[in-house]
Amino acid sequence: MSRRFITAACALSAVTACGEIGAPTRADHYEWRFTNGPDTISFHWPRTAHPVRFWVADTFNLPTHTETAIANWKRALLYRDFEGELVADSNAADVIVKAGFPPGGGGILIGRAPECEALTDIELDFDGRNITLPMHVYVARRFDPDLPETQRCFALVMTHEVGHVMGIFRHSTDPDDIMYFAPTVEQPSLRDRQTAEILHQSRVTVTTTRRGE
Amino acid sequence: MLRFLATLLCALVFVPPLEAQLDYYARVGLTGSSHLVQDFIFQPISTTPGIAPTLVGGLSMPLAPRYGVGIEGTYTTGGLSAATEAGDEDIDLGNVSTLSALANVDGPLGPGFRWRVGVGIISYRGEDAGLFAGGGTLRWLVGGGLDYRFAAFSSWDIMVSGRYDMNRFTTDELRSRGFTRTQSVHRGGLTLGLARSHR
Repeated sequence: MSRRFITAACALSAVTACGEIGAPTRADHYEWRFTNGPDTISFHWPRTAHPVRFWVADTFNLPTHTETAIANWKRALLYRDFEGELVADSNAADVIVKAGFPPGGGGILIGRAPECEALTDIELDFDGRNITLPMHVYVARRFDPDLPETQRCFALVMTHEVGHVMGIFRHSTDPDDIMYFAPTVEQPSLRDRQTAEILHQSRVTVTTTRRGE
Repeated sequence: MLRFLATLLCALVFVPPLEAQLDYYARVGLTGSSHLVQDFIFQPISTTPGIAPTLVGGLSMPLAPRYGVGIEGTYTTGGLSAATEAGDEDIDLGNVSTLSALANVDGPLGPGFRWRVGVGIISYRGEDAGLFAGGGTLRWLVGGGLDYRFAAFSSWDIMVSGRYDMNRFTTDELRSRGFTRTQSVHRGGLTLGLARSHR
């Protein structure tokens, strides 16, 4: 009986050996932080701020593209690090998405594709280490917005811009990434996903305030 | 293995079942599990199912004077959460459910007690995000446990069971993200229910 028990125990030990899954190193990520000389700014939305509220102008089919972009990033993350929703009141929004260009020009994070372009404007005070909300995303067309190619372009630049909103404050240098400055892929790549996962486990080094507070 | 399971199922379903000897039971209870994934991003992150309500149903028939052979199905559903080593907060990852089938043999252990061991398969299903973004997964399973029965009604016994099983977990999504090998997942459950009496 004891010999049988020992045999069974050995067999069970053999089956359960090497029991831990191997976590990826995520070494293939790219830089996501704003840099100012040696200084870096890292940001992601705290879970207490979820869902991040998007107000989206009802043009170019942008509400649908924004929802799809949010879903793309949500699906890309293992630990529900980002949640977003569309809201009707722009006063309550963390992010405002409009068609066109910023009123004063500029914009710091520009994504360009052949049929359209977009940019994310984040009001960042480097010295005060503060971001003033809401963030703004502007989407501009280069061709007829009703063309399927233009609509596809809106979809991929919205995923790109939501990546910026989420905290990827730089561009990838790899054309296969959605965060490449001229994105062509429609979904976050493995490098995009690994970068997003790392940024969400990184320490946030800025505060956020809302305009008017 | 699949052939063995199919043969067993056919035997249970199609062989004239010796009606008086066919044993069947149903139980409810709770199942706990070890973590499904151990990740590391600056610190360890463990993804673990919560204590899950459990439904069990099974059939068995005599194989020898003191031994039986059967099949047992188990369904669990509960929350899934991730926790960092710092333990600042648990991250709610939605729900995960499992459906398992265990082909088993059973034998006597003492008055009212029987042991049961077997092999089978387990299916995990979760929300369309995170580690289940690429769909669920089907894994091999080994398990066993103890049953205790005592007479309660004229045709039915009360059945109390403890179960342990083990599988090696991964999903297509985890593999696509660069996770290697598989995670040993250990589950333990305690259930209470009714079994057909042979008195």
